[in-house]
Amino acid sequence: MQIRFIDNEGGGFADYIDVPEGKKVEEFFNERFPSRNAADFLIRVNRQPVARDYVLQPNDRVTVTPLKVDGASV
Amino acid sequence: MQNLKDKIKIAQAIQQATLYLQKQRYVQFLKALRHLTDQLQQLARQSRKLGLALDHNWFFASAVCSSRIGRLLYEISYTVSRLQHQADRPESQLPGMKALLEELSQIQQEFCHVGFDNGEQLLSVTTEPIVLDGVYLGPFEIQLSLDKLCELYREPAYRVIALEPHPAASAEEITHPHVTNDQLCEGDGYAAITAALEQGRLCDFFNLVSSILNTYNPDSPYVRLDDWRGVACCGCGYVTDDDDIFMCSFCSNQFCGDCCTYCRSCDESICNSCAKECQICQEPTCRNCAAKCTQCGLVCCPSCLEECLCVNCKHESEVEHETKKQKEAIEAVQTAAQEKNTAIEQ
Repeated sequence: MQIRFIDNEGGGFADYIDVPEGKKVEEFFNERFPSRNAADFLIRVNRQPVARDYVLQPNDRVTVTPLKVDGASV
Repeated sequence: MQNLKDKIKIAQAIQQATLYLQKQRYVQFLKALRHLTDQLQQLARQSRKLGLALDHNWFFASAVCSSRIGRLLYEISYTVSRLQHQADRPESQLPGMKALLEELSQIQQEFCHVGFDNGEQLLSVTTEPIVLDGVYLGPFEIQLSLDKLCELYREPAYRVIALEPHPAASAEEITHPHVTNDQLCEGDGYAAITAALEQGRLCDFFNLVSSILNTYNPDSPYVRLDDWRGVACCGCGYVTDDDDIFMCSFCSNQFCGDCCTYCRSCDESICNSCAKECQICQEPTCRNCAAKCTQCGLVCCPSCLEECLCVNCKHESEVEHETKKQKEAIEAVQTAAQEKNTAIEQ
């Protein structure tokens, strides 16, 4: 099935990607962001916070936004 | 931003801006492409000149042409690389009204304070108070200007305003390690913020800016948090703790240990500007203790001044006085001797 995935880390790309049926959002996150802590990110499905065992549905909109982003000085 | 009318107005403004931005992307791409075309034409001209030079065995001219061609090739490769990067960028999806209205609802859920200034076309959210490494910086308002969204590629479309400013001691305009004059330096967040604004993902934009505000990057701040508090020296600008700052007794400004000294006569703290140097012993002295020698005019400390004369003039005066006394004594003896001789002759 297809979901829309918006990765706000790095380039901020929004892509339609294929995920297997029954994939939980926690599993999806761990695959996309291996060795990263989910607590360091704002994870939203269809603009709402969801439980880690939420099962992704077709056409779901998943957004992952880091809570820590390094700023700089010019 | 409570009523639907405002939300629709905002959504319409953003829709127009994202459409304009998408057009601007292609305009910039076309501009870069035309630049490449110009460069290729220059290359062709140089190539013809090289051919002409070779036909006439003009080797110096050939060398000059080759050098110019070399520079052009280098510039062209850079232009091609930039063009490739622009061409490879995925196309931004333009948001529909429904998506934008959902964005606005999501912003209201994610942030406590959301405001919309209809007159100035400003959509703003307020963060929670920010504390970085124990330094309290207060809450910030992230103000997105819907009017300036169209100019995203030329100037920032948003400001970050400290609502309870706790700026760096050395610079009032730096209210956060990564904010100066209400402008955030996005650092690693630049690409994601730009993409979020291009695609009308307002909630992602505000969340990303908030994430940067909640992160301290010690490798690249305007002012390090270690140097945030404290007092800035009026002389050199160095920021240090209160314990290492001294106040000049004369100008009342605050100075670090390197820019401050003390009067060797009265022990008062004085800055290097207010201090005078005794021209005899070179020790610092304050203007209350310093005085001029009435003979030579040198500025002296009390230790080097006696009866309004500096030690040098005093010594000279004593020597002169002694010499005068001796001379008078000799004259007196001579006079007495003469009188005695006169009496004997008589």
